[in-house]
Amino acid sequence: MTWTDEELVARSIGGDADSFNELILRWERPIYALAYRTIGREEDARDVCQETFLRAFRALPGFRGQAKFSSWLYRIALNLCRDWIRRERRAPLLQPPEDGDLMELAAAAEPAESIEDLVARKDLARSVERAMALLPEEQRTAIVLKEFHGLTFQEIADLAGCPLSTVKTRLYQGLTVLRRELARTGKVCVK
Amino acid sequence: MTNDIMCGYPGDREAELMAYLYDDIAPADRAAFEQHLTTCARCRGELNGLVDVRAQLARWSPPDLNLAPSGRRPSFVSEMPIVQAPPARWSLSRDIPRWAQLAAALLVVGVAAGIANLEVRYDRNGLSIRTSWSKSTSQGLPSSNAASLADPSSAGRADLVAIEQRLERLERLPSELRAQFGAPSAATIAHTPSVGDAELMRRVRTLVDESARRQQTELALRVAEVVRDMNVKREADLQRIDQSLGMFQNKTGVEVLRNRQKLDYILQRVSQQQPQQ
Repeated sequence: MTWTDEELVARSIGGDADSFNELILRWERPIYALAYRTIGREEDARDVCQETFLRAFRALPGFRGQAKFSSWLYRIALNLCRDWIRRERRAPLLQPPEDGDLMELAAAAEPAESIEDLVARKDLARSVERAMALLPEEQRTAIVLKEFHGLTFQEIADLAGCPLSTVKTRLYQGLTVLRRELARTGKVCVK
Repeated sequence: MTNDIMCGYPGDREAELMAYLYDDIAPADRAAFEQHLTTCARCRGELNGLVDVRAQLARWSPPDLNLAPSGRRPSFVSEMPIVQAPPARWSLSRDIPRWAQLAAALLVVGVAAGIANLEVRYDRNGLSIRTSWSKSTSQGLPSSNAASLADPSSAGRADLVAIEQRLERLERLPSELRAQFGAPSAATIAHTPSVGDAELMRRVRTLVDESARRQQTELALRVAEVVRDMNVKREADLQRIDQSLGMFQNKTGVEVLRNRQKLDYILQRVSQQQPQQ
């Protein structure tokens, strides 16, 4: 039987640790992805993910279900990302591309993927990461939530605590910068 | 550049563009914006560009999280404090005095013994405990049985007699049945073999044929299974060989790339050193 998030929350509050474990298994990937795309560092994204669930666990008895559990979790994660960025006192810096062993890269290639395809794929991901790193935190967060987590404009506005029109403006500005940067590296064309 | 073209959209152009791009727009607004797109090259161009950006973003995935296998608790969760279950409204062992618990237990035992018709007897044979319904069932027995039950030895004898009678009746049953339904007489038994032999042979042949046919079918099925298994294995082997070849090619490509880089580096160093000489 598949429990809903809200049912699992209720069971967790009742002392069922397995239910909370289920919530973690359900949401750790999205939260980690959100953290990684927002702060751009793998290890720190893991830390943020872990801290998000710890905080959620501690605050669980206070969760009244006014918002969806996922929205509540996103809010905790975003606050932690914001804290991290402020603590670092610098624009989030993506990890320098690992000029690691090309042999490892070759081993990571899909069976049907040539080394050229693999390099092109990594190169594209790196270009997107660099372009995203140039954006202010609000714009980056809006893009990540909309593009990768499929939140509505209203949900993003609720999470960010800003008007709906502001969310759209942030998205537009962020995507425009991305478009310009990706065009500069030849990843998209500007007509 | 398309930005140089004027756009005469009456509303909030950027907001509508985003709403349209992410398909998070009211139907009426969508229709109006689509109408505008047919006439505005700037918005059209910008929309296409943003669609391209989205396509590139979709290919950006974070590094793998290396999660624990599904169903297992992630490592950091084990460090979490376990939520204590809220205390039950009252606890039996804590809130009720011991004497009351003892009285309740005795009451339960008494009621259970009554229900089970428990009979505890201590006589020269020692302690005997019986749970039976003998008293209540004995009331339903015929008077003769009831009388015999009063004397254990006579009751046992009566049971034995009844069992013997039943056995005798069972022994007589086959002969009674034969008499009733007419079993073949010795004469008929002696007469049938000449007719029965041919019939029997025919039946045996039919059985042998059927058996042979069944065996052939089974054999064909087995062969088909073996062939199928071999094909599957062959395909798996071929796939593995393909993968290994691909990997080998990738590694060779990497080696070639490295050698080329080294060669370039050496050439650069040589060309840098030549002018100094």
